[in-house]
Amino acid sequence: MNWLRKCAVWLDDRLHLTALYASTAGHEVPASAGSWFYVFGSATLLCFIIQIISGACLAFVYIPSTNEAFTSLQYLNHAQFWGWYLRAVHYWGSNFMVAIMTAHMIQVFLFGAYKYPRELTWISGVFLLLCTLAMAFTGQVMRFDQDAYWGLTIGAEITGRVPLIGAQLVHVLLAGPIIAGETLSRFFTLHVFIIPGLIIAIVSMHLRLVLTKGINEYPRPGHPVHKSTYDAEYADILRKEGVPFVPHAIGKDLIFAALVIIGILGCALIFGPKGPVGVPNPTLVDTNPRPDFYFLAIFAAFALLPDWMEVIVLFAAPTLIILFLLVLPFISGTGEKSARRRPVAVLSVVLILLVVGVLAYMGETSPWSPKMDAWSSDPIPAQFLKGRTPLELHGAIVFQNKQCRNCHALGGLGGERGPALDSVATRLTRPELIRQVIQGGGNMPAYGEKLSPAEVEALVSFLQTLTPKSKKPAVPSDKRENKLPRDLAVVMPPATGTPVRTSPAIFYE
Amino acid sequence: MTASGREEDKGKDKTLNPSRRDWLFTAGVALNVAAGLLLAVPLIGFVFSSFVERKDPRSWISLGPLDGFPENATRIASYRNPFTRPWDGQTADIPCWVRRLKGNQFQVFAINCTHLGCPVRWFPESGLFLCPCHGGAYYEDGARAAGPPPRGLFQYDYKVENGQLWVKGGEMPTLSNPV
Amino acid sequence: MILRHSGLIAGACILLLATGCEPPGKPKQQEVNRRDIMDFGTLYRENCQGCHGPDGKNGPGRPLNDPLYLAIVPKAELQKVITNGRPGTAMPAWALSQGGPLTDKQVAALVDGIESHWAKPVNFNGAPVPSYYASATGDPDRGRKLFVKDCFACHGQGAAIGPVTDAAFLTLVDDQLLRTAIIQGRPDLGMPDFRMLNAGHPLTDQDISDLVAFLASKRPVTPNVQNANVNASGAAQSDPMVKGNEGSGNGPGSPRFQKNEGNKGGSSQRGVK
Repeated sequence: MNWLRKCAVWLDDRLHLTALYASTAGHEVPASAGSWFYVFGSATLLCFIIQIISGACLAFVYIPSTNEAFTSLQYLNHAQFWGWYLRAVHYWGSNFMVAIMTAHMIQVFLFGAYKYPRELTWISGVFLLLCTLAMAFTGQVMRFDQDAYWGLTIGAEITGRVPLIGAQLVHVLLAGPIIAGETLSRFFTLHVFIIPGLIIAIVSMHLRLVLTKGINEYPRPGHPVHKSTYDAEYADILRKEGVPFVPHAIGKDLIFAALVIIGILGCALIFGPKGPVGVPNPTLVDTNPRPDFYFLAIFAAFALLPDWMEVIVLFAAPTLIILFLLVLPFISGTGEKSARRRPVAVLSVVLILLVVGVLAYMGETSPWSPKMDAWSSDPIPAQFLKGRTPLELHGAIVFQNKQCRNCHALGGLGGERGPALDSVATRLTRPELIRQVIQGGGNMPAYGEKLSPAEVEALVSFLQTLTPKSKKPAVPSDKRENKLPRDLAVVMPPATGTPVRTSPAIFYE
Repeated sequence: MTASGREEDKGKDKTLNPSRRDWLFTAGVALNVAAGLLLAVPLIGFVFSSFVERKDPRSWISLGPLDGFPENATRIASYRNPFTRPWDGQTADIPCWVRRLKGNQFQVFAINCTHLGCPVRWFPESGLFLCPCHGGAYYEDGARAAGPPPRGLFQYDYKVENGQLWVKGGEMPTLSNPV
Repeated sequence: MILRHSGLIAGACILLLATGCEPPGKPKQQEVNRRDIMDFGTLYRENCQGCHGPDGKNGPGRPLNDPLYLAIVPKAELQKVITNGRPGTAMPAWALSQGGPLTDKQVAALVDGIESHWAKPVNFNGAPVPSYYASATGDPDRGRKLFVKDCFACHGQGAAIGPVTDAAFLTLVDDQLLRTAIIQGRPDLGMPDFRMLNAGHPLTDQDISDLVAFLASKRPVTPNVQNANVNASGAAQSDPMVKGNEGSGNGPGSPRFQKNEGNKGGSSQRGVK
């Protein structure tokens, strides 16, 4: 025992461990900071460590070349002992990291912890947020499947919209004119060396600032921050109710950390890794690219924004948001910290969460995307076919054949880009249907050139049968508010060719 | 160098004066700046070579004999990208849509939607290209039909030579660099 | 407490893995490339049931799940039609070589699957089995008489099921489709087949040809061309050599409504108030 003790003393003499401990783990924090709300920061760091460890293991097997990456992922999933599990841990670790980091950021914002004198802690946190998102994007590329290939294409196309130097930036991003060759090596380097290195550096600074400027005390309403008095107040709090971080304030962090680890491992075990889905072969064009959930909201915004706003939102909005986050501690560096006295702050958090949540949900369901195989795979409900005339039945065939179904649902099946047509005949009259089919409009292509008169006739006959029994067909347009363009006659001029329907008399004499 | 070592040096070499030390420091910094620049120039050039090297990566590639493309029809074709590495694998096989109008009249469309680059799919029955990402739609001649795309489909330059269809390809088409 | 619990959970997980019990997250077999799918059910669901109905019936298109139909249609015809489509009708070509999505093997798998799943021996009760293809030229006059006798009740103007002499309908179907329809009926939607259409005795091969000839004689001369596109304004179609055309949404050849003038035929005339 004695020699062990001697060893410890010798090490401490050389490494100054006791002093290090006293100034870091043992530093004094306000007792009120030992709160369940204060556990997210350490949990984010924990996730990052899990990511580093699992990522390093995956890199033992993964091959970052466009030719081999997919095969090596398949190998990890199916052949490598517990390879699938490590992939799952890495994937779920990233999900947890993004989620917990978001919680941390919201907590810091709502608790006013970004205010004087912790501006730089917040700013370094903003950079950590950016790095984490960059990790998420580059990580999605590492899972080199069809989603990754086309996600990369989307990234390149967005970059290509940068004014003046767009074309060159695309080359920088892809490490060449197309996705191939060095592209994956470039993203591998970013994902494995450069961004993690940056994160480690910024995290060190983030933690150093926590030590030098102290952990934010649990804010109390009616105790605003003043630059002149805050430092003294904080010193006072520490003197009165300061406790060493280890062991008196770390308990809840530890418990939450264990829960996070169990959560990651459990999700990995139950839900498994994501993908890889589909060989990254660009010539297989029947694919349906979707980003990982962190980018679904942005993906949705692209579908919903009007054209003219796109470039603004692409470049101006992110720049402004980041700038706003960076200057936030300077424009609101003092005053009330407690969320109870900051209704605008609480409202904006709720609003942002709602917007992002709704956008992400819409990105997941993508109602704006045509359902590419609906025309050949979604059957027409039998009630729309029973007792119909041969022409109407053929109209249903035209409806499928011309891919109308890809955007219009019947009986709940089919695309959602256009309105469902189950009861279209109650909304549109025959001339309105014909006009809409031929001329399109309202985000519907014009089918005038792709339908023969007979096909239009058949299709519209079918559409006219789409009326629930309880409802009446639409009233002709001249009998209600004028919703139709007046120039219908220009669109559909009097026929000069063979009449499509002739008098029945000639058939039966 | 330990603190005690420096003390010794000071004691031994009395000829050293502060101005000489200053000069050494300045010279050291200047030398390192110069050396750093020498290192930085090739580093930056290496990573951002696309700003320096402005050569056109495109060249003429054959899409195969003309009989592969029936008249009045649109077919998918693919070519091996001319800018290629041995480890490209199948990612260097680039698809495109070839529409043959009549005789030697063609339109060769890039696969990428002009909105965000997703692969458009051709539906011969309705004569539309549809994009799976945000629902962009194009007519058979590549003109924008509906949805968010800011323009019609990108078109390759093409030529007919030796009974084969050739396109000028080799670069991912983007809005700032349409094929 | 918590420590003990987490230890328990961890232990359970490790036990689960160690005992070889498959965790639910473990990836299943590698996914199959779309072009390697050979399962008939999947192929049919993804490519056919939109028109031919779930399980081969109750779709707007021809029911394939019908022993009578499969008894008369040659297997080679199925193969040919799936591969090349039926030009002039709504049946598209499915083979890769024809611009479709399926490999030749997948087409063959579909044909085999249709035959093996839905073909059954049919008892014709001594009725002469008509051939799938028309063998004789029909007599429209005789066909008209047959039509009035056998079909008019359902398919006359204003009758319950609706006319088949409708010009638009006849433009969209070809003689072979009419012939198959008369032979097969629509067992799923209630139209009798050739054995039951004619009160008294089954329709003969000649009867069917005559009926088709009568219907064909009512078909307007206008072929089923996609509007306009086409012939009338074909000259105005885009010239890909013209640069700068690509950018605009209104490039030459994009549907512009003026072009439809004079091409819309009667169907649109009805639309004009």
